[in-house]
Amino acid sequence: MSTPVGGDPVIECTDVSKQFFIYQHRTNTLQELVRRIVLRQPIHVRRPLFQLEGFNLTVQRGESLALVGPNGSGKSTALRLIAGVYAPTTGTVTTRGRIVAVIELGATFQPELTGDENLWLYATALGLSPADIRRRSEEMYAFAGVQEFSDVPLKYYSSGMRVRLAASVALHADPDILLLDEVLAVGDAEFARQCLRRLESFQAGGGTMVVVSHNLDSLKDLCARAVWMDHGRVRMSGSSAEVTEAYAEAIGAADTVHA
Amino acid sequence: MIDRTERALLWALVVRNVKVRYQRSALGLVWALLNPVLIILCLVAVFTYVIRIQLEDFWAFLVSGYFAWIYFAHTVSTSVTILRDHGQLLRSVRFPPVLLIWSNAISRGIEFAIELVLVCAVIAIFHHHGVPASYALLPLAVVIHVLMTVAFALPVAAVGVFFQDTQHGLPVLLTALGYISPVFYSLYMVPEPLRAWFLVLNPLTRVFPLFHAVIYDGRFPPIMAWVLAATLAGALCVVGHAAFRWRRPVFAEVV
Repeated sequence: MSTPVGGDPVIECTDVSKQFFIYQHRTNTLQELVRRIVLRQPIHVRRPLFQLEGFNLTVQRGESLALVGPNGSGKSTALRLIAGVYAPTTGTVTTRGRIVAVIELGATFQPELTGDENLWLYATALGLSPADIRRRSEEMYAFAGVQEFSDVPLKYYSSGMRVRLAASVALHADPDILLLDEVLAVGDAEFARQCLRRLESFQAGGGTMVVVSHNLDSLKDLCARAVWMDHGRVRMSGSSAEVTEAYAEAIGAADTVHA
Repeated sequence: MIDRTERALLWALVVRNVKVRYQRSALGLVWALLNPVLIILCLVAVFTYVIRIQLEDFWAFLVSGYFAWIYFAHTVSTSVTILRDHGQLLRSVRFPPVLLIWSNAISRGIEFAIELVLVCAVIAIFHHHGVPASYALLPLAVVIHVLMTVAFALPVAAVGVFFQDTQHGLPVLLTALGYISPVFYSLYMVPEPLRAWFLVLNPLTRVFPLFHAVIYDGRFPPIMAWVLAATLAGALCVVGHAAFRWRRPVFAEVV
């Protein structure tokens, strides 16, 4: 399953499963909890759902991997397991190096705070040290194109500006492993191109990348390898050209357009 | 205990909390001071001219414990929704969620410290007519109190994630807890057989008398009182962390 690129795995998922529940009824108040315990009713009415099952993945240092698949196929769950946000139900996830996961852009953003304060907090949450932030903030602003608004509260930013600032911080966080969930599709065309260039230079610098996206064309250029996921399992793994072609064929070319 | 990145994040969260609370307005810091000043004035007025209690300068006794109680009640009640409020962060960044509770406890602790400075000044001037040496022990009392507060805030935050009515039930429980804690009265006013139960059942009973003794009495509480309070606060804090960690793996999935 792994492509031999120096044989230095930085991400290893071994026989991973992740179980969630589908709730028909979820007890989410204490008074109901007490009532149901007293009446000896089941606390929740739910059935298990395996979002991932028997999932294996090895990513070598410096590799770029695309995860493709329909909604609900477990791509984002896989990304969150690698990021360490979720714990696997069974199996093991091992990673080596500093990970930055961009799963929800601008996860710490506070409308009341200025661009500068938000940049600082978000960069810190993504694991940058104060010295790193000081060194890179100029570059981050220039990249986002919002330097003249650094002292303006975020609530006065347009949504495009907000997204650009968030993406810029994330792309300058300089991790060993970068995990991206659908963030290639933010901002205008020019900004999207700028992000792609930034990702390419990240790759050139030896960074490892796992990308989830529905935009198959951009994935094909960015990633050498792709994994097609279906119902929580790996359906196909190989070169991104092969995999995206097979996937596009399976779902019909029309679906590749919308991201 | 926590590494450098986590410390940096904790600090950044504390700074954010303080900034968001006072929203950088010119009135921001004024509010932080105006609030306790008004409360002190009200307590002084009511307990000097309206309700007269046979305890010298009862207003000073009240004020010396009041802000410790407010700190506890505020910190615990804001912990109910704290994980839910940071859902995006929990779902996308790997970090110890306890940092959220600690950052809340610390940023509110800064306000608490400002209030205590004010309280100490007022009581030194109008009650002691001088600065008692016991004030030097106040930081220790604050540390013990913060540990005790976090010990309560952690399980409350964990329960609050799963049960939405926690935030409706909690104010009632906190009010009750406030009345069965020696905040508004001294433990010596409690009749003897009951007093022992207070000490056994309510861990807060060990904390507030430290503030009363150090600020109002101006005397050093016995060493055993410190040891007991610190041990209890530390132990409960450890239990609180354990309870929190037990549910921690699913926080990101539930919020």
